[in-house]
Amino acid sequence: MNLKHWTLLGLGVLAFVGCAKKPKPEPVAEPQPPRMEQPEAPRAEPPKVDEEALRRQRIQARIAEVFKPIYFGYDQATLSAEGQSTLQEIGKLMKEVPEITARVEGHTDERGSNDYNLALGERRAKSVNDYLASYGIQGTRLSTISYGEEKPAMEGHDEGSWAKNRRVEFTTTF
Amino acid sequence: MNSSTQGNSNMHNTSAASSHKRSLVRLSGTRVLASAALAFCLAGLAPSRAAAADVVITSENKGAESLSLGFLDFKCTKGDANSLPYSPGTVIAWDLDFSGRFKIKTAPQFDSTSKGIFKGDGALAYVRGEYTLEGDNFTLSCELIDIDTQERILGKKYSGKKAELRQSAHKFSDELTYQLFGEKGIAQSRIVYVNKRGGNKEISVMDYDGSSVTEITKNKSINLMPCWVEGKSKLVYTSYAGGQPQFYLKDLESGKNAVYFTSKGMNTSPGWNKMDKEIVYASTMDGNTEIYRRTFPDGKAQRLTFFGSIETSPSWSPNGYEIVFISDRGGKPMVYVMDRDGSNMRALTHDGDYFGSPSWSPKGDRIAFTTMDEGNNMNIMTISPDGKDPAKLTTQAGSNENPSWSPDGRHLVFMSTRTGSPEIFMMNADGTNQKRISFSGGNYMPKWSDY
Repeated sequence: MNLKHWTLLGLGVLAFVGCAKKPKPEPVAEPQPPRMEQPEAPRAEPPKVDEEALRRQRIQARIAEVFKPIYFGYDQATLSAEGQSTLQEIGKLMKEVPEITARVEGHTDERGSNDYNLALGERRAKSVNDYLASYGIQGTRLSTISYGEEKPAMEGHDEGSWAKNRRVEFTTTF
Repeated sequence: MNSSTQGNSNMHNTSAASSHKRSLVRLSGTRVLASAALAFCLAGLAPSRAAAADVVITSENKGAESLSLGFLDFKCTKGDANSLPYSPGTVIAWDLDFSGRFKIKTAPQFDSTSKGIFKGDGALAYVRGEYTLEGDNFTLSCELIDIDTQERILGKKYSGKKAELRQSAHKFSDELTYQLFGEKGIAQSRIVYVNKRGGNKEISVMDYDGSSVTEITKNKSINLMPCWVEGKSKLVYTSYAGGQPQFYLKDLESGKNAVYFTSKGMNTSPGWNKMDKEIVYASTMDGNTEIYRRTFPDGKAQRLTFFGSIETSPSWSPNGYEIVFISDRGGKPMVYVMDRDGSNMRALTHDGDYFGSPSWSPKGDRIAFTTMDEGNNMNIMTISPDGKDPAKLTTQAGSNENPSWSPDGRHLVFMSTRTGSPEIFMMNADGTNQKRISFSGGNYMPKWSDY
C-alpha cells in the first residue's frame, strides 16, 4: 500500500482520537459519579496480531511525518540545509525499519521547456537518491522517476506555486 | 501525380486541351504559367521534374509574394448542404489563405461585379466548385478558370464516402499549390499533440487546420512528446502507462499500439530522421540524461553525448548529417549542434540564459527554438544554422513553446498560453499570421507531420 493511503488512514485515526479526546460539555445539575466506586471491568489480554497492527500503525504515522517533500531552487538540483536534514530523518527511519522502500519522484515548476524539465526532475530525484544512498540506504530500496512539470502540486502561475512545485516527493511502501 | 488515388476517394482529370490554343496564361506580374506544359501535366503524362519546373516560373522570393485568386462559393447541387458542418469550398479557401501563397477574394458567383473585384485584386483566374451529397457518398468537382477567356486551366473530380470529403478538398488545395508553384502543399498534413483529458495527458491527432480530432491514447496516464515516424503512418511517444516513462509505438494504419522498446531509466524526446530511418532521443539508461540514436525500428542504441550534464530535445537536420539539441553543460540550457556521431559539437546560442525545444527546418535553412524572457515566459525564435541572423517570432503575452515545422518549412505550429490555457497555434516562418487552431482547453507539444 502506498503512503497516500496510509496517510489518509493515519489522518482518519488521528481525527477519531481527536474527537474522543474532546471534553464533552457536562450538564451542570448532574453530579459526577466518583470514579473509584466503579467496578473494574475484567481486562482481556490483547491478541498478538493487534500489537503488530499497532506497530505498523505507529510506523505509518512516522512515515507520514518524516517523508516530507524536498524543495529546490529554480533550475537547481542541489539540496538545501533543510532538505538535507529532512533526508537525514528519512534515512534514520529507513534504517530503523528495513521494510520501508521509497520511490523518489522529481518535479519541476512550469517554466522552461517540458523536455528539459523532465531531465531536471530526474536530476533532482537522483540528487535525493544519492544522498540517501550515501546515508547508507541500499539502492534496492530506492527507485527514481521524473514527472518534470507534468504533475504540479499547485496550479498557480506565480513564485508561490512554483516554489511548491520544484520538489521531490516520495511514495513509500511498507 | 494525377493518376494517384488514395482511400476510396477517386480523382479524375478533366481535359484542359483547349488551353493549347493559348501559348501563355499570365497569372501575375512575375509568374508565367505555360498552359501547354500545364495541359501536358493534366493529361496525366507523368511530367518529369524538369517539365514540372517549366510549368512554374520560379521566383527568387516566393515567401514574400502571393498569387491573387478569385474564389466562388461552392454549390451543393444535390443533397442537403446543411448535413455537413462545413462546405468543401470553405476548407479549400482556408488552405489557400493559410498557405500564404495565395491571396483569395471570395464571391457568391461569377458576374461583372465579381469579375471587377477579382481583376481589381490582380487575379487572372478563379476557383469554382460543385458537390453532391447522397446517402454516405459525395462527389466534388473543382476547377480553376481563366477570368478573361473562361477557359478551364485545371479541373479535378473526387468521389467517395462523405467522411473523406474534407480530405478531398485538401487534396485539391495541394493540387493547386503543386500546379501553380511546383511545390508540395501541406493541406493533407496532420498535427499530433498532447491533450489534457480529465486530469490525464493523452495523445491526439488532428488535421493541420484543427479539424477531424482523433484520440490516439486513452490509457488515463501521462503521455508526452509524440513524434511522427515513417511519414504520417506511425507515432512514437513517451508514456507513463507502465510506470516508468518509456517509448510506445502507435501504428495509425493497423491501429496497433504497444511498448516500442524499454531500457533502464526513462526514454523521452524522440526525433525522426526520414533520410536514414533513425530516431534520436534522450535517455537515462546509463544514469544521466544523454542523447542516443537508433535505427528504426530495431537498431541498437548508440550513445552520442558523454558530458554528465543534461542533454535533451534532439532534432535532426533534414539531411540527417547533424543534430541540434539542448545541453546545460555550460550551466544553463543552451542550443548546440553536433554531427550525427556526436562529434564537432558547437554552441548555437550564446547570449541569454535559458533555451529550449530546438527544431530544424525541413528546408535546412533555419532552426527554431525557445528562449525565456524576463517575465519567465518562453518565446519562439529562429536562427540560421551558422548562428547568424536570429529572429524573434513571438512577443505575445503568455508562454510560446514547442515549435515544430510544417513539412514545407513555411510555417510553424506551437503551443501558446496567450489565451489563458495552453492551446495550439500556427504561424508563418517569419512570425506573421499567428492563428489559434485548438479550442478544447489544455493542448500542447504539437508536432507537424510529413506531407
